Amino acid sequence: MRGRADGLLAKVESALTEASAPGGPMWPEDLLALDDRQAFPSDAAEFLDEIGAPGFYVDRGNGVLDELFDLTSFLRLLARRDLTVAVGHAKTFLGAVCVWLAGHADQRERLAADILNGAIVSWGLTERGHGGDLLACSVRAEPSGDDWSLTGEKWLINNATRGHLICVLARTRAEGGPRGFSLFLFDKRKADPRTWTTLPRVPTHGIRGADISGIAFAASRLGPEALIGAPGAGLETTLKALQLTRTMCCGLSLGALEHALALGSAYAGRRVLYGKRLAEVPNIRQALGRCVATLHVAEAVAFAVARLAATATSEMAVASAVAKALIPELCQEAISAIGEILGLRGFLSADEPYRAFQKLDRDHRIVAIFDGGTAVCRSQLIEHFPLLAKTTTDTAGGGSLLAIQGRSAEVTSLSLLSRRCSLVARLDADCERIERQAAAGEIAEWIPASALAARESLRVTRARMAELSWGPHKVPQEAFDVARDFELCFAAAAVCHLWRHGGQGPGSGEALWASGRWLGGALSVIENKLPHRPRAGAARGDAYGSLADCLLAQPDGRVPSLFGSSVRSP
Amino acid sequence: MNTAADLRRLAQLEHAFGDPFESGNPFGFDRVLEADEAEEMFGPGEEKLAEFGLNAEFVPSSLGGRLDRLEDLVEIMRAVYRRDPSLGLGYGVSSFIAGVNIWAAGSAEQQQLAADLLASGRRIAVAYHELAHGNDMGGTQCRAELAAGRFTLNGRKEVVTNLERSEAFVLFARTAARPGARSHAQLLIDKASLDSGRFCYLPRFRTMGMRGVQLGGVEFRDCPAPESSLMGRQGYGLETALRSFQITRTTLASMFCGILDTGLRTALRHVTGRRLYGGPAIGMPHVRSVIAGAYADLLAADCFASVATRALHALPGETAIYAQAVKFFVSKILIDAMNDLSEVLGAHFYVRDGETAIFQKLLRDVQPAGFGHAARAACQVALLSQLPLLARRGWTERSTVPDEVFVAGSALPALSFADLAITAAGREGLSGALTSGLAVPSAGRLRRDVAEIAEYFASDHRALAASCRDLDIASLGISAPPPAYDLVNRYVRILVASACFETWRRTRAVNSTTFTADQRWLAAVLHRLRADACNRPKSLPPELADFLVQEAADRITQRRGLAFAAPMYL
Repeated sequence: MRGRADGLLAKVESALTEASAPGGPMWPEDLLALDDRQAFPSDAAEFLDEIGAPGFYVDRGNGVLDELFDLTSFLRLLARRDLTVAVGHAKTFLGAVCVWLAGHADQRERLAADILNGAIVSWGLTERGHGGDLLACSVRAEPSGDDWSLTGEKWLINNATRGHLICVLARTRAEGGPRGFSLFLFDKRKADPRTWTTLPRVPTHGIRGADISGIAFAASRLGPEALIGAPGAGLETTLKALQLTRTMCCGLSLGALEHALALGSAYAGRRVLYGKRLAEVPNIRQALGRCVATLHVAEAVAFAVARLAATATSEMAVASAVAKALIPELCQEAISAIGEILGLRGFLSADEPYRAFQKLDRDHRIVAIFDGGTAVCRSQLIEHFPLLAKTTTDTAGGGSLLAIQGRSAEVTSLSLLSRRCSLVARLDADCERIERQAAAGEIAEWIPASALAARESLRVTRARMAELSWGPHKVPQEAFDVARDFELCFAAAAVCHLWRHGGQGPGSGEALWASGRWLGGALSVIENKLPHRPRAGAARGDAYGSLADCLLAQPDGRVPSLFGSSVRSP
Repeated sequence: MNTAADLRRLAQLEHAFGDPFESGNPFGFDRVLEADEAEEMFGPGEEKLAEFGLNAEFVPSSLGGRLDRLEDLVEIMRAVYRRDPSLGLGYGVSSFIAGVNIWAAGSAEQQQLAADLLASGRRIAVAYHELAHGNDMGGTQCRAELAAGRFTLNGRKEVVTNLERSEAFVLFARTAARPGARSHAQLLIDKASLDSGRFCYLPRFRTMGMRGVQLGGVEFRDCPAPESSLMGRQGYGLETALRSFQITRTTLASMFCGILDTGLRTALRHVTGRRLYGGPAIGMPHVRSVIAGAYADLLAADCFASVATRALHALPGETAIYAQAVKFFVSKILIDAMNDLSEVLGAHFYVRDGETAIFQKLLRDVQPAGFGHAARAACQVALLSQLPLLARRGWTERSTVPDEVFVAGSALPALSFADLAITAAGREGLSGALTSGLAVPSAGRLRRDVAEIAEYFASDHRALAASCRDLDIASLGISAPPPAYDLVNRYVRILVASACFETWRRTRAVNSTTFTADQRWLAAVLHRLRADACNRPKSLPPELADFLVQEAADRITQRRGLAFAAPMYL
């Protein structure tokens, strides 16, 4: 089961490796210095243009539904080296995605050509004062003959200053509402420069070199060709586009955690305290192993959700919200745990071999915020409670939700409301297989209990979803906690489904797949947080310690990934 | 509450500094942030603290200073931390740590020298740290060899606050090559006595947080130092340090509470002024829950640290335990609460300018709470090795803890450095105080949740004793099996639950009208402690969340601090 662009990803990876050598455009020393100076990594961006990275941002036919995981993986390759580069370059996909979903053929072709020529595209959604509340958006576009006139200010926009084009969400009905907004592709190169201005760069906690700024329009004129999709469809298109971007930006978390693990592993392998190497201290091994297992959970979820875009397209509202809420949170937790191992060494910002840590820790915290923060995603999930409570089990088991076969998915299948969640519906059947494997001695005997804890938790969680009710604007905190429980069950389902349907092909990390090594670790991470844990504290082998061994056995900078070299799909 | 003189000094200090949020204030956050951006100490703040005579707070009154009660010192230092943690650490704390060691082990002449230096506004640094050994002070390599009536210094000290701009420093050095605890000494070195050709300063160490703090290093090359610089007996340096650390670990962790106080105020101000989804953000139950949770965490941290601080006066034979527990618990809960708060700030926690800009600085500055001046993990291991003895001795003997340990502002015995025991020899009464307190009939009507959770921790104490009694001490060093580390987590939660329960119960017996006597804060803290024990979401019941949000909002309106002492800001 290989991704379509595996070959391309491998080429990118080797180019990145070369570019990371001293003096190269991705040399880590330079990237850290740029962060210090708050300068954009222009050489790195130029290099990415040269190796054809923009090709990843261009739709190859179906709104990129089939290739979403390529994007996730590409983003991860950048992110594990430098999040500023990843965020600063891949933004072009976010700027373009609404055109891939809703633009007409002409617009799509033009934009594709532009991007392949190196055009930078930005996405203007947020405004000062109301962040993720898109219905409060106040930039307005008024018809003026055949044209439109755009007025207002977009703020905290990635690449608003560097970008050549910007996809803008604007109010087209004074009263707003779900059909009151439209999308426009604003081309700075064509617009009258007196009618727009970029806003000063906003200094940020992490990704200090990124261009986080804004743009103000004053009756900027847009031709009719600037409108993306139907008038009034802007919010709907945006929300559908977010389903895809929230999925692919999991790659940022995967890359950041991978980078942190590489640093933590190198440190533990060298550091001697109280006469022992940290790598030999059982509690440190346990902590590192748990972080590896967390990476595997995140990989499984990121992969499953990206594939669901093609195999269960209409369910992406739920799946993408789950991924975007859970993955940055789990990964940050693991990054912080590695930070605790590094201690002062992860806090020093100069003349220190592990100083990349303090940057990635600051950088990664942005991931939980953008494209809809954790609370926004959980709110979206909460809206689905009545439907999710009713989702029935797929007793037949069904085929793989992870394999893309034959016919391409259609963007018209994307929906703002997921009627069901097929992935969690498979949990029963996947658990049964895990039980059979344990009975046959193919995997450790304690593993099924962890999977069953997730199955039982899912039942409990659905029951709570059905019970909860509340008044307008008063979603109780309890609902957020139930949403998180569902995310954990979803993660367990992704892990079990991937275990069942992945892993046989070449390129998968064989040592991890042998006898359920990664499966046990991943399920343990999840189980430890579940609402239903029948055997809390029961022995479960040395799942984490064995993953730590995998980590510490890797050559420097490598991290055991479910995807083998971490550039291929399982 | 604190003494009247302390309150006057605190009011004087806050008055001199003015409202930190006011943009024109020369001592406000805008200026603090400018210094942080420049990686410099906040100059006007330092001048103001010199004018205030902050150093006198570190000098015992017997030597002409103002240090009588450690809780008063903590309260003053929290005011500094609330404004600028770099100022707290970089102006004050290193001289305080040096001072404590000098008061504990220095000769009369050395104490007078130190007192005079501090009285005249000079600094004394603490040169303990070596990058190669971190918390493993026994591994110290920097040597001080005594021959022919003088010491000869060789080796390096690294990442030492104010090393270059101090007049003197306390040096921790190896005096004998043999490994073990009796091979070190502390020297008080007056820089004027050193030959400037025999030592050199290392370049400044730069850090992600506390950026203004001047972290330096020194390298000695056959550098002579007078024999009279020895503090205490040669070979006893580690013991002196371990006794002094009981004071500094406890009080420093407590000072960090000032960071969360400002973090909470910043977050609450933000969500009060912000409108989202058609209403004020503070009206959303999720936002309220996060704010209230962080507030409960501040109260737990404050309560536990304050109990341990008063115990330094009243129970110096037991604080070898409490100091480790405070460092372990308080640092983590403060860091976690700041992380939680960042969620309700959304993108505003990530932005380095505007009204919430101080938050990202605090988020960076709080990190050293976890590893500075002893890492959490080192404290955890130290506690771990104590568990069997505690289970066999202290937890069965049930010593009583006097009221003054729980009731703020009670008369306390004078601080006695000589009475601080290097080991508690398995005796501490705090963890058992919960069980005794629950048994007192006058405990009165407990809320049902309080009774239930308190009983949960009391019963876990019994279970813990059973698990620890027969542990093999030899297996409990740094290489202990990971499940053993969990025993420490359980133990520390019991200590905190006990400190909070008894603080509420015994304060109420004295004055039932105070906030401390209100059972709801206790209920909130206990809810979160138990959720933490179960690794489940720590959300509070809405009634408790409402209570804490209202309390926080009222205190902000009244310009009072958020912790128990609730000092007036102006």
